[in-house]
Amino acid sequence: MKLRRSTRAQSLPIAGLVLLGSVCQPGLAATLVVPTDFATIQAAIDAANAQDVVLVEPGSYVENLNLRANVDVRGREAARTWLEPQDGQLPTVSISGADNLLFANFTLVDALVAVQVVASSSVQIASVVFDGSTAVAITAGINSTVDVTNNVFFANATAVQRSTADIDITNNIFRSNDITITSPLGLINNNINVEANCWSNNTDLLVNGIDTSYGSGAVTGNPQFIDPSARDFHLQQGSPCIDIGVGNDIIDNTIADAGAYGGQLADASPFPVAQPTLTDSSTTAPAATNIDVSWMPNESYLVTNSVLPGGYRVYYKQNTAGPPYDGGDASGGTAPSPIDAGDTTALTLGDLNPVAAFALAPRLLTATGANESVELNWEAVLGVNGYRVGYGINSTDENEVDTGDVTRFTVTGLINGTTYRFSISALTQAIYYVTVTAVDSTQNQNESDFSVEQSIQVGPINESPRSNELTALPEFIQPFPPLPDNGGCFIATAAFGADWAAEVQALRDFRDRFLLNNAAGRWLVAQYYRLSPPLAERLQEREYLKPIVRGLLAPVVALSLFMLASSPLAKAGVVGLLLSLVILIHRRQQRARSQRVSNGS
Amino acid sequence: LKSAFFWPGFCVFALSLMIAGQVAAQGESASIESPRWSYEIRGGNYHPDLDLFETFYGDNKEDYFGLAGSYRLKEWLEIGGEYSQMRAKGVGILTSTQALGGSVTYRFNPVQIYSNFIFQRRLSQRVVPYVGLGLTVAEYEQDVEIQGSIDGHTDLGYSARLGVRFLVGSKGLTATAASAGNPDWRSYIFLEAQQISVEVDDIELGGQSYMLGFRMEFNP
Repeated sequence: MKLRRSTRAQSLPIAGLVLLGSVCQPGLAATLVVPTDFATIQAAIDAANAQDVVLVEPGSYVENLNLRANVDVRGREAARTWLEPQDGQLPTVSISGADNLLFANFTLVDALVAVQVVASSSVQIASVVFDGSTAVAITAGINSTVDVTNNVFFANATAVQRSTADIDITNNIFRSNDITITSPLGLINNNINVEANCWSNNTDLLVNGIDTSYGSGAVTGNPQFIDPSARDFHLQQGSPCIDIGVGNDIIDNTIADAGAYGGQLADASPFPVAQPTLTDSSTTAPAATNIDVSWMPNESYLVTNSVLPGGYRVYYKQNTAGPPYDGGDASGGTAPSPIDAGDTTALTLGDLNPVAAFALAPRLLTATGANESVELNWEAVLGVNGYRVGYGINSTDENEVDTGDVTRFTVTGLINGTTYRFSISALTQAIYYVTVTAVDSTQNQNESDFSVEQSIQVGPINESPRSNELTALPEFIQPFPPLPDNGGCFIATAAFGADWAAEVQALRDFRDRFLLNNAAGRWLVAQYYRLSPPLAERLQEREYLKPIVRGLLAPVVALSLFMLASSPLAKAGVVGLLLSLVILIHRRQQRARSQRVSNGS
Repeated sequence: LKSAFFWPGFCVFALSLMIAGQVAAQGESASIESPRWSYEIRGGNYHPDLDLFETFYGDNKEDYFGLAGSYRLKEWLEIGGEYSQMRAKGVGILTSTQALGGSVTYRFNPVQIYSNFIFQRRLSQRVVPYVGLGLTVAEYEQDVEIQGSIDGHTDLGYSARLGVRFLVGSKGLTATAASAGNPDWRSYIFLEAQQISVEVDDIELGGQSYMLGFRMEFNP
């Protein structure tokens, strides 16, 4: 089974509480965390006892799950806990003969059948995104009772197929599905036990281009997901699916939103912000070290809102990556990390006090002479940002060049036959590590995980003591045998007289467009460049051959022009014509061969 | 010197092409029973005709590999092409001190078109000698570590080859099957010696190669 992890969450409030409970009261429900405790979700399900909870950390998982009675399976965040089937022909999640369970907080993708419920009662499917199931998102058979609550059904062939009216469908968003709710032979009224859902652009419910709906308390209209193509189904400000459901949202205690991010099981944390951008905006007069931080907004209405916006927090620290972000020097020490940025997507960490460590002197290992150059190789020093090479004929102080953070460097522009002296020093500069979180506008001010960390080097550069000194003699190495270095040339150029000839340009364009963009083409071009020069050379010397070569090249030029200028339809037409010709010739040859055989016999 | 090497080879090759053309022009009645197409995979040693080669590269021979393909015009005549590779690692001359030093990788890749004359009397002949002549041009590259590389190509030269094939297996090689267009094939192991002569700036880069190979003949 394939298991892919992506990001890791910052905290585990739900798991922590349940785990704490299980530790304090042995014998009660436990939380089995995937992949911390078990490598796969199914392994955790199989190991669980009744009343246990399997909690899945954010990441992408590839499994087919068989749920068990009395064992809840939850993702920690629906938005970032993706599940796709390992065997695409089987349901991603099978619930068969398994009563009293909850399946919640996942995004199910690339399924044929996402969830199949057979003969199972008291099943709750909540806060799940069903994206693009090619057959059906949820199918529930007879003798099953299922609550389908606060889910998103997006672009599924069929969203819900129920064989009994005991499948309650509440607070969901149905968007761009072919069929929303169906039953065998249409025996069940699609309005029964269907309440407070949000409907939009579903093929079976469009009447003259206008959305209609099933059940009571329905709302129609574009739910304004943030970005369905990125599977971000949070709602933006103005969505008609906000505050229309049954019950309350756990996040803000208002009327429940429809969809996977409303109701009692919704993700508490906002979606993390993308990696911020850092720019050194330090000034010299007055001297100040500043870093401009900017980031893309979290478009969820709980964060980006013209009436009641959430905000962002900027975390920073010096010289070591990762949390805890405990920087304290911004604004002359008055703005310790984290800084509440408010409802904005940019902030300047100003008047910083960067402190760069002093590094030990590196050790220069080798200095090897080559033609007008010397290659240096040295041992890496931990914690440095780069190196400086000093070199000269009489002293290593005569010239300096910074190399960046490498351990091999070639000094060029040297005089062959002259001995040079070399030494290096290590350079250190303060590095700031910055990350940003989104904070929602609820009373709890729920905070997202950290964004991907970004770093930047700023402030003065410290130089270590110089390394040991080595000498080297740059000199030309003459390989054996002494052969001339001659470049490529073109047969076509020789034949057509100049490299700006239209025919040559056509061939060049063909090369650039159809050959240089693939490995086989590049190999062909490389071989041509290698093999063509002697032929082109001989062609240059023999004028009488040029018309012949031009004649030979004419079909190639014509083909190039055709490929460059014709439409795809025209190309397809010509290919079809050529194929027909080949088949015709082949048939004629077969016929002629049969004729000869029969004549011979 | 170049002409002395070039023109005899060229004349023989041109003559062989003329013969091939004549044979081809005799028309379809001059059908052959051996498979027309073949490919070869070959490997062995290449001995450059460079006096100081061993001094710079440590040995007077290097590993040599090649791929070839040919088309049979007549039972006794085929034309083909071959691309081979030789690589040697060694040192160069440090020009300041005239000492050996540095690190040099020398690549020599001849491309040949050739005509083989095959001494075969029966389709199932187990041992098949052949001789061939061809035109050759070689690309070369001398990659000097740190310093960069020199590359180029030789002038047109010639090659000669002599070998013997040992039949390994065959299928469907009957006159009836061949004339009916049935698929058939024949495979050989072969030993071959080649003499290549290619020059650049009056430096002879050619040499002798001795190779063992596998040959598959087939009708597509």
